[in-house]
Amino acid sequence: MNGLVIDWFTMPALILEIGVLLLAFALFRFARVLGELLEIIQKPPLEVLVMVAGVVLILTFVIPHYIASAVFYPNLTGNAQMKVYLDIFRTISFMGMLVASVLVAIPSMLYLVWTSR
Amino acid sequence: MTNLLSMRWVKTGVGVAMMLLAALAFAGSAAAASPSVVINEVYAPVNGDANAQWVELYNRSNIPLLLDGWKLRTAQNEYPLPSVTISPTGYLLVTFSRAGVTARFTLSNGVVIADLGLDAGTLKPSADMLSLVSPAGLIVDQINWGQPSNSWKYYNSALWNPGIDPLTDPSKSIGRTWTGEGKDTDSPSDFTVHDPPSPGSKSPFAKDPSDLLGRPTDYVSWVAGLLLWLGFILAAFIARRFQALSGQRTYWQALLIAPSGIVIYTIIQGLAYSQNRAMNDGEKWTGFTILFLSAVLCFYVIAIFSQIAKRYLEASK
Repeated sequence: MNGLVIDWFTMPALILEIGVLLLAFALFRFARVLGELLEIIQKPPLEVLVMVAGVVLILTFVIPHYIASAVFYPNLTGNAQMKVYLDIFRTISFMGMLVASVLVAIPSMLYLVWTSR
Repeated sequence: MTNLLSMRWVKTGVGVAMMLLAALAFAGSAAAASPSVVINEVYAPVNGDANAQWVELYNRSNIPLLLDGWKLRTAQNEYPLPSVTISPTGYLLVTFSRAGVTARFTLSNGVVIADLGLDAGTLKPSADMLSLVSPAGLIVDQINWGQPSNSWKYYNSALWNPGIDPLTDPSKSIGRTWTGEGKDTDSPSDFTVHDPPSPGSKSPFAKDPSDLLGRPTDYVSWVAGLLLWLGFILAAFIARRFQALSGQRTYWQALLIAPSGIVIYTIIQGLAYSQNRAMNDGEKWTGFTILFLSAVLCFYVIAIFSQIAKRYLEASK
C-alpha cells in the first residue's frame, strides 16, 4: 500500500454503490414477502435464493466497486497495473450481478408459474 | 405511508421522472463523443533534455487526415503544424527539434515526423498544456499536466485542475492507456506513464480494448443489467398477482416502472465502454444518479408491498 493515494469518498462512484446497496436491501425485503407467499402455497422456501442474490450483489458489486473507486482510480495515472485491476474488478462486478439476477428471477418465475395454475 | 403513493401521484411523478431520465440519458450519450485525432503521447520530463521533447498525435478514424491549417498550442505558444497527412489509425510525431529527438531516440521505420523547426522544445515539464486546434479554431483535443495557471496565454476553463502528474523519469513518457478505439474520457486518468516511450508508433505498453476481459465483460454487463431489471419486473408481477388474489392494492404499477433506471444505467455504461472503454464524468453522474433514484423507488415500493402483504397475511391467519 506504500505510495498509494486513497480517496475514501469518491463521487459520483459512491452514488452507484449506495444505489446498488439499496437494490440489495430491496431484494431482502422482497425475499421476506416471497417467503410468506411461497409458504401459503406450500412450496419450498426458494426466497433464500433472493436473499443470496442480495448478498452476492453486495459482495461482488458494491464492495469491489468501492475498492476500485477509492484505490484503483486515484492511482491510475501513476501505476499502469491499476488499469488491469480495474478490468478484473469490473468483470467480477458484472458476473456477480448476472448471478444475482438469475437468483432473483428463478424463484419469482416459479412462483408465478405455480400460482397461475 | 401508502397515502403518499396515490395513483395520481405515481402517474405524474413517473411521467416527469421518465422525461427527465430520457433527457439525462441523451445528455450522457452526447457527452460520450470523442475526437478522431487525439494527443496520444508526450515526452517532456522534468530534468530531461528540452531538445528531445516531442508530442505524438493519433488518428483514431478510418480516413486519412491532412493537417493543413492545424495548430498545436502550448501554454504560451502556438505552432502551425506542417501540412502532413496522418494515415487512418496512424501516428504523427511532432518534434520541436528533429535532430534533438533523433539523437535521443531510435525511431521505428516509417515514423511520420512533423518538425516545428525549433532549436529546442518549449514545453514546461512541471506544468504546461497542449491543445490541438483545427483550421476552424476549435480545440479538438487538449491535455495538461501539473497545476494550470490563468496567467497562461492560452489558459481556458476546460483545462484539468490538477492536470496529469508531471513526468519525472526521462526514460519514460506520458501516454494514453488504450490505443485504437480506446479510452478517451477527457480526464487525466486517460493517461499513464509509458515505459518505454514509443515516439511516432504504437506503444508496446498500450493495450487494445479487446485485451484482458474488456469485450466479454461488456456483453455480461448488458445481460446482467437487463436480467436484474427483469428480476424487479417479476417482483411487480408477483405484487399484481397478490393484488388480484387478495384485493389489496399493492401499487404494482409503480414497481413495474421503478427499475427502469437499471436499464438506463446499463445502456449508458454499455455504450460508454463499447465506444471509449470507460465512462466519462458526465456519463458517470448521469448513469449513477439514475440508478440511485431507481433503487430508492424500488426499495420504497417493495417496502410498501411488503407492509401491505404482511398486514393482510397476519389478518388472514
